[in-house]
Amino acid sequence: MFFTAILRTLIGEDITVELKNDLSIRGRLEAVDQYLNVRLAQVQVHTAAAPPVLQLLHGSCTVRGSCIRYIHLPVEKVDTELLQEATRRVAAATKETQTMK
Amino acid sequence: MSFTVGKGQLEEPVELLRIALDERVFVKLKGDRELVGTLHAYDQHLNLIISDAEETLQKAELDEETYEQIVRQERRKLQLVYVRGDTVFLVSPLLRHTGTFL
Amino acid sequence: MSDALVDDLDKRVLVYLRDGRFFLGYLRSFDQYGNLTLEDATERVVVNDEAFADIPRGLQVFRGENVVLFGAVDSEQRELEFLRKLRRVTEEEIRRMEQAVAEDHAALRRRERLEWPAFDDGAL
Repeated sequence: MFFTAILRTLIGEDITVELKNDLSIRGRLEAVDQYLNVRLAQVQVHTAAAPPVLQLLHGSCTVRGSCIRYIHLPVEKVDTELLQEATRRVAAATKETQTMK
Repeated sequence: MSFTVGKGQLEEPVELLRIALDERVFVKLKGDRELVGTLHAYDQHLNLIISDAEETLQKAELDEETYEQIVRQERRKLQLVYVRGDTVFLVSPLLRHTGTFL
Repeated sequence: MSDALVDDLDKRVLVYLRDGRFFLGYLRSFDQYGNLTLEDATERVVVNDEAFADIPRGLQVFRGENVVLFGAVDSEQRELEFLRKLRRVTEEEIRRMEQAVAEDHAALRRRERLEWPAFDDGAL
């Protein structure tokens, strides 16, 4: 759930989702779930040779997490030091629970 | 950057990544892609958050007449990306100053 | 799929599948795996940005793992604008056109094949 929490801090921001088939979709992040499925508002297809049918999308769309390669994040909205600290904490906690098992 | 493998220090491969936080890493991805960037977050699935990255994509073309394979590299800069773990083959910390892989 | 991600129940949606197909229809249900059911579904095939065919598919169930994305298409104006630019053809005709395009692509891919192919074919 760690990365779900990270991405949730960006709800409301404009992001670009790049799919594994090279399609790029830009939109405002509305929701993220535990599988890192992502819901975007005001979607725009950002790839030149994308299938034209995608232009029919109007408003929001839901993208399946397993089809995503990258999510391009707004650098000014992310505190990378905080990310590192959080990662260390989560890694320590995970190690803790594993040692206890 | 130094570490000891074994009890008390590094027990699992993923723990190597903890040492690599805020350091430059090399990432090999499916689809003949490679990234070099600064690692800011990771999890057990190898989902990553990387900044100041350069992505290299290897593209090969076969010349129809000469049957020669022409390899082209496409590069682009990525300021801050989340990388989905299921596309990651490997992550390797780059040694400081030398740019060599561990 | 969690509730936060599906806001489109009973709306007309576009579903994009991993095999590249597009379906339009009314979203009637979904579950935690992202399986979807569409009522009054139509498969819309567009070839060469020039011709399209709408193939009626009735009630369709999509297995979640095969879905890339889905979203509402609730602007009639957009759809009309879109269809106006294309020539409607029959299912047979569009399949013939697809076949021709596929043959061209196969020839192109033969030229681009790497010596050591990746573990998967680079697609989804």
